[in-house]
Amino acid sequence: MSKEGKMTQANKENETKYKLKLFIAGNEPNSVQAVDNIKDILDSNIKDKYKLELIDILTDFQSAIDHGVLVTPMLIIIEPSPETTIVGTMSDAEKLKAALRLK
Amino acid sequence: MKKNKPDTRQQLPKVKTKITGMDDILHGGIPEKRTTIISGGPGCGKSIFGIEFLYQGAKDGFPGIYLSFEERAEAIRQNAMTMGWDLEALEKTNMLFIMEANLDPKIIVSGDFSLQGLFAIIEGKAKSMNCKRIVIDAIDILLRVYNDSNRERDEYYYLHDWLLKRKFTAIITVKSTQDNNHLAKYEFLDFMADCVIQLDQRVKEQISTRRIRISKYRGSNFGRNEYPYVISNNGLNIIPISTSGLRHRPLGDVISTGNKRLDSVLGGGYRRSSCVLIAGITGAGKTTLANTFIQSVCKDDERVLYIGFEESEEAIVTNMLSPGIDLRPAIESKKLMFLTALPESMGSEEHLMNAIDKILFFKPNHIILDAISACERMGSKQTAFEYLIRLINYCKEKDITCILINQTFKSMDIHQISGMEISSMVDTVLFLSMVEVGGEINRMLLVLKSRGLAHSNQYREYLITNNGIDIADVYVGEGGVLTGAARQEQEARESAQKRLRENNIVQKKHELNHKEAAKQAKVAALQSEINMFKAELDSLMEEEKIWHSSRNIRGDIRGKNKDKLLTIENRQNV
Repeated sequence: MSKEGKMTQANKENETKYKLKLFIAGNEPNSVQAVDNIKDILDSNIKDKYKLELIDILTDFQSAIDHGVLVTPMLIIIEPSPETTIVGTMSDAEKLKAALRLK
Repeated sequence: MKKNKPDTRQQLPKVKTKITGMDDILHGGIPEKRTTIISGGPGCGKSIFGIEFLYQGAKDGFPGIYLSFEERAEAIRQNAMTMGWDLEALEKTNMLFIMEANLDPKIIVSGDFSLQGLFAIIEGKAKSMNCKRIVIDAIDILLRVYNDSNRERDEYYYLHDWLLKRKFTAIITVKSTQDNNHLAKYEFLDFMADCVIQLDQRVKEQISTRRIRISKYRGSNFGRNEYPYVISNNGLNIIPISTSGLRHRPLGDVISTGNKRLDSVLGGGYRRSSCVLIAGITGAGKTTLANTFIQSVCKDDERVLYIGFEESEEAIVTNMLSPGIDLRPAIESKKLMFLTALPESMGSEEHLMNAIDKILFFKPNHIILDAISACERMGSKQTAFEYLIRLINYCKEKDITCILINQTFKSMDIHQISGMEISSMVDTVLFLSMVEVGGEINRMLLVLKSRGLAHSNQYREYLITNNGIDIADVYVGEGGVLTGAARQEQEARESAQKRLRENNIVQKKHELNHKEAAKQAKVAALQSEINMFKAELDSLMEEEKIWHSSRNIRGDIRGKNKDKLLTIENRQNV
C-alpha cells in the first residue's frame, strides 16, 4: 500500500529515540482507529522523535508469522528496550504512554 | 430394494483421518470443509490427534497447517519423532507448516482488537501451500486473551464462520476439565461444530484407561459408544471392534489338534477360525494340549501367535520339552511368535492394541491366549471381559483360530470353565480334570462342546507322556464315570453288602462259641460219668481185696499151707 510510505515518520536519525512497529489488518475498523490514536499520542508527546513502521498483515502475512501477530492491531515498541507489545485500538492513551515511559 | 431405485441421498463428503480405527467409528472420516471439535482433559492426546491427522494427510499429498498456542514447535517436532513422524521433512517440502503462536501473557491490552492476524496468517500460508487442512490447538488458549466470555463466543463464531467460508477442513481442540463451570464456558463450541469428538482419560482400579466418544456428527451416522483407545508408539489407536457388529465368518474346515485320538474325540479336530477353550485346574495339561496343536500346525507352515500372561517365552519352550514338544524349530522358522507381558503392566487397551498390532504384523493363522483367567489382573472383571470380547471378535473377523486357556480352581465348576461370560463366543470347550482314584491322580478329558462336529460325550483318561498327550480308551473305571445319583446308589449298595458280610461273620462266631460251650458241657458230663465208674470200680476192687484177705485168714486157720506144698509136688510129678 502506498499509504504506508506516507505514514512512516522518518525524522533526523540522531533524534530518533523511539522505534515502533504497528501491525494492522487493512481497513478493519480497529486498525484504522489504532493508527489514528497512536499517531495522535505520539505526535502530541514525542513529535519528531519516533519512527513508526506500519505493516499490513493482509498483504504481508510473513511478517505476521515472524512476529507472532495473531491479533490486530498490535503495536510493538522496539526501542526503548525492552520490547513491549500492546494490542488494541489504543483507546486508553495512558497505557501507551506508560509503556513508552512518557510522563 | 436399494438396487432398483437409484439412491438420491448424498453422502456427506468426508476426509479420512487415517488414525487407526478412527475412520471406522466416524463412518469414513471427519466432515470435509467443516469444523471438528476435539475436547478432552490434559494428556489425553488431543494434540496427537491433530498432528497425526496432518501428518497422515501430508504423506498422502494433502498439505496442512498446525497452529499451536501451547506447545513450542520444537517440542511438537520432537514428540512426533517418538512416533516415527518426521515433521521437519514435511515442513521442508512445504507439506506442513507449524506455527508456534504464543501469545505473551505480559501483553498489554488497550482497547479492542480482533483475530485478524491469525486469519491473515492462515489465509496467506494456506494460499502459498495450497492447503485445506487446519488444526488449531488449543482454541481456549487463544480465546483467553479476551478475558470476557461473551467476547470469546463472538470471536469463536467469527472464526468458525471464517473457516467455513474458506472451505477449510478444520480440527479445533479445546480443553475440558472436571470443573463444570469451565465446561459450560466452552459449551458453545460444541453447538457450533459439525462434529464433536470427546477424549477422556480415567483411572479405574489403579489402571488408567482412555476412552473416545463422538458426541455429535451433523449429517452422518457414527459409532455411538465409548471406545477404548491408546497412545502407542505409532500414534493414536482406537479400538472400534464393538461397533462393527457381527461380521464373523462361518467356521472353517477341520484342522487336526495334533493328537489323532483327540481329533476323533472331537469329531475331527478343531474348526478353523473357531474359538477353542481349554479349561482345567493347574497341572491338568492345558498348555501342553495347546502346544501340541502349535507343533502340529507349525509343521504345516501355518503361523501361530502365542499371547502369554503367565510364563515367559523361554519358560514355555523349556517346559514343553518335558512332554516331548520342541517349539524351537517353529520359532526359528518364524512360524511361532510370542507376545508375553504381565497383565498388570498396562491397561487392557494397550494389551489389546499390542495384540492387534502383532496380529497385523505377523498375520497368524491361530492365536493362543494363556490364560484368560489372568486377564482380570488388567484391572477388573469388566476390563478383562472387554479385552477378551474385542480380541476374540477381531480374530473371528480375521479368520484366526483362537485357543483360549483358562485356569479353573475347583475341578468341575461349569461357570468357571467358560469364565468371563464369554461362553457364547466359544465354539469348542475341552475340559481337563484330575480325579483321584485308588490313591492315584488320573487325568480326564471331556468335550463339553464342539460346535458343528459330532463329538464324544465320554470322559477320556489321558496321560502326559514323554511323547506328548496320550488319550486312553473310553474310561470305564470307578469314580470318574459314576457321578451323582449313580455314585450314591453304588455307595449304598456297597455299604449294605458290607453290613451283610459283617453280620454273617458275627453269626458264625456265635455259632462256634455255642458249639464250643456244648462241647465243654458234654466233656464235663462224660468226665463225671467216668469218675463215677472209677469210683464204682474202686469200691469193687476194695470189696474183692477184703474178700481175699478174709479167705486167707480162714485158710490159715484151717492149715491150708500143708496142702499147698503137697499140691506143688504133685503137680511136678504129673
